[in-house]
Amino acid sequence: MKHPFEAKSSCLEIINGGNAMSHACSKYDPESISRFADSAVSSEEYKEMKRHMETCAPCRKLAGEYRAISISLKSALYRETDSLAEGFALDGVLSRIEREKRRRPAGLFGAYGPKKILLQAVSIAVIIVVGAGIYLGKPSVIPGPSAIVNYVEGDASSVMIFETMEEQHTVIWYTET
Amino acid sequence: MTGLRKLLILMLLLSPLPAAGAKVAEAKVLTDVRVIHASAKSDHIDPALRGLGRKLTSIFRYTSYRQIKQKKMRLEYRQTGAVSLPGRRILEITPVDLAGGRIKYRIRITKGGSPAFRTEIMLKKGSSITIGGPEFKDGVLLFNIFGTIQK
Repeated sequence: MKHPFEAKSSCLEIINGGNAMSHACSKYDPESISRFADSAVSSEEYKEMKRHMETCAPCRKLAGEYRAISISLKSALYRETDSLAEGFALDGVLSRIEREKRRRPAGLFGAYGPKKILLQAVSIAVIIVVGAGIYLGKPSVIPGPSAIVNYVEGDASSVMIFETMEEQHTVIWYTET
Repeated sequence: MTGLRKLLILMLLLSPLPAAGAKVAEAKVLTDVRVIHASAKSDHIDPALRGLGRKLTSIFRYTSYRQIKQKKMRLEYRQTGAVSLPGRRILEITPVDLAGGRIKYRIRITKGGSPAFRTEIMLKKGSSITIGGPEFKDGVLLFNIFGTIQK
């Protein structure tokens, strides 16, 4: 039976009966290749695996696929987190207020009378409320795929979990026994 | 910063929190389950699918998508909703938590009374997931699950 996702799917992870698909290299398993692709190995291991990749086409291919997945996930995350940067402007304003206050001599109310202290508190409150309004008023953008799968189990001969590139729509495909 | 100023700011920042906790408990989870028959026997997209039909054609190689059933449920947390499916199957879905803007769902599909498939997902509010695979009438069944929060 022709595979329903051929040439149309992306970010594909195939699990066959709970085990990773067999890899045509006896030296390195897919998990090791994945760590290599994420540079999550020691520098000696990285050099050794890189040398191995020069002569092993299956490992080289698999590493390329893992890197492609990482790049697409990261670029989606960066697009979403850019919108959060503006919220940090409020921290800069509050830091400046603090530095100004430290310059003034200390007293019962920090050299201010009760009216001035109230004015300062109200000013700070307005800054927080306006800042929160600007930050929260934007539609909340939650990065990542439409669904994160915590686990799958059952009487299935195979399970595939993937996410489409453009809309990050999550699909779980299982084959009944 | 003096104690008075700290106290004022702390009061302003903490004031929404008790209300937020109560709101999560009161919220209902709107869950929309659509059961779709996909096949390559003909070339037809059910108008009832609307935008979902276009999404499915971009993911799968099937040429025909027909909506068999749609069930919209307003579930409380830990309340299970059930959808009967073709082929003596039943899909049970339970929202169990809300965290980081995602609804945690537990989904169970049985066939002939026996468990066939179980999963737990964290679904982005206002998004959907598609679960598919079971064979049915020269095609397959797809289950599109949409979830959002109604306050």
